[in-house]
Amino acid sequence: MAHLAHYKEAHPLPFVITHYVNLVCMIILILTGFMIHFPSLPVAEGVMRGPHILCGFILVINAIVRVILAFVLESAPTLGTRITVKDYKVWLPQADNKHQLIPWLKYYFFLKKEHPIAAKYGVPQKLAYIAVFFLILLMFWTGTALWEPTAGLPFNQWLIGFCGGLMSLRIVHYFGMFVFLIFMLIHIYLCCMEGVACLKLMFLRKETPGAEYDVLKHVEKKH
Amino acid sequence: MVNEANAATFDSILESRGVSRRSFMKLCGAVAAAAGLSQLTVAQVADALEASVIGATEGNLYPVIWMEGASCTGCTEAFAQIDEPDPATVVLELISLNYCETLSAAAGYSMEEARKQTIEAGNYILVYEGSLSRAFDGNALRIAGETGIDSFRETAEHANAVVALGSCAVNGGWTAAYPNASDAVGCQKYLRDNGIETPVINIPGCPPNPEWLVAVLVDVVLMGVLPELNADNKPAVIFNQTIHDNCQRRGHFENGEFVYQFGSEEEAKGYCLYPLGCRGPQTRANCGVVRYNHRRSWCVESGAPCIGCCEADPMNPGDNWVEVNTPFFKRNRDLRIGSWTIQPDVIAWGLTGLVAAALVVHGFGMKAMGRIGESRKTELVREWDLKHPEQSIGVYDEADIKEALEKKKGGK
Repeated sequence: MAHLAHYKEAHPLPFVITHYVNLVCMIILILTGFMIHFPSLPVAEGVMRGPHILCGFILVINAIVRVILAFVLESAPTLGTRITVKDYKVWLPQADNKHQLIPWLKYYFFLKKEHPIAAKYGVPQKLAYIAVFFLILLMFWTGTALWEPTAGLPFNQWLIGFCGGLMSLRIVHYFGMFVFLIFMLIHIYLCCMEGVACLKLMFLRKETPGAEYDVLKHVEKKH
Repeated sequence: MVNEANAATFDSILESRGVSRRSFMKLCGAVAAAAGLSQLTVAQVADALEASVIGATEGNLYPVIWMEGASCTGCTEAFAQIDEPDPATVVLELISLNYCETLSAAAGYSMEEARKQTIEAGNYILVYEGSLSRAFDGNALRIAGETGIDSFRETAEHANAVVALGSCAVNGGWTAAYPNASDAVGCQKYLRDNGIETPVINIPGCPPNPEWLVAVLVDVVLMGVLPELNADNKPAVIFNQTIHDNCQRRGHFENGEFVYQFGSEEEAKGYCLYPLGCRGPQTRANCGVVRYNHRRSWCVESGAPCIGCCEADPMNPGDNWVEVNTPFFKRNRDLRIGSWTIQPDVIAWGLTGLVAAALVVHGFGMKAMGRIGESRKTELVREWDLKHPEQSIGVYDEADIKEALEKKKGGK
């Protein structure tokens, strides 16, 4: 069976931009974060916190904008179609994905030969992306609790007490970064496994022709 | 009251201690600095010391009971080891220290009697040093035939305020660190757990800077007000900013000039101690402003990274400075699972490495199965739909269903 077509409707330009912002911010945040944790490039230490804090704010604002845009803009619910729906529907359970979590896990663990039929985002993929949104919020919260100008705010004071002091809070923030890192490893790996069509569409906005998907019948269209 | 000391005129106190007017004004400057006040307030501090009911004229001195729980007496030592008339001495002369295990001349029965009489007379403050040992119904620590927790409760209940002096008194300190065999806890938590609402002023530190206590005593005893306290009941002016905020080596931090090894050239240059595990950025105290030992030096000035001895959440004995800051020379604390400890880096890098390795192996598997990119096959019919045709999500061609069923029969 041929692969589904990758059309621009799957990833409209504003979402490509928010994805780029995520990518750039996360890389800067991770690199500067390591430097703040331990000055392995000492000469740069003095300028590490500026970009770290700036990118932290950009990342969280970007994430919130992305969520708001989901209610404003439309995108295709699956690959292989130019039909669009309000983007937030893509983040809710979709009929195309129904009962597909177990098949996905079986596929990843080599217990199933064939790639499961899926909506634009498969079940584990969708759950991971939603989790990343909350992870961004958690990192922002723990980050502002560690940042002196905002550490005194009542909800930050509460968080510091809840975590058992600034040292333990710092370790929560540190572990959160590794969760990002692990997410990025898996995300990049699986995107590459799916083929170059996804990468070309997301990064270069280049479409790849392929099979059509019938969003009403939830199956691939026959030629 | 028999045990009450009386004050002569303020100047005669100074004179009898061999303190000149000039030294006294210097002392006021030190107290102002300790309290985080501007030097412009020195005159007010001097006024307060002089004009207070206690200091200026004859009258009753403010009674203070200084008790020790599970302590090493380091806090008393820090306060009392002074080689000349000093802020601490003078202020101690201005209070009536009715009970102090280390400093009182009396001992035994008469000492305990002095404490009971002071409690009975009321209107006193309690300075408490060391933690409260709750284990074995409080019998982990016994003083004069009573458990430590009983005598603390009795004294604290009737006090105007409790000054929890030192990290042990604030939340158990190192006595609450693993394995915390005596079930140690700080004053505030013990009182609140037992429904006693006496105000608590927490002064952490191991030992706390004597000048912090002086500053608090000036507020409470002489000015008759509680100092402004933060959410942890610590004096805000002393404990709201980090060591890092006011560190004299901060310039080196910003320049990226660090000490990576003791005995190195960088250490001789007085560079920043951050890579050696300095806890300055996460420890709140004004050590760098007030300094220790007659304002001569302090830990970081003398070349030691801050070990965060002022870290103490009064309501959480687990957040004691030893537990959350050891090992001192590493950037991260150890995480503890029972008696076993591990560095967070080992967990984080270990897990990340494991995932990366698993993905490499997975990648070879995907390649072997012919699933990469264009070569992979997608199922014709959803597994669930095949099993439940009557509730099928997809609307499939008959031929596809037939093919999928055949594949399934053939062992996928």
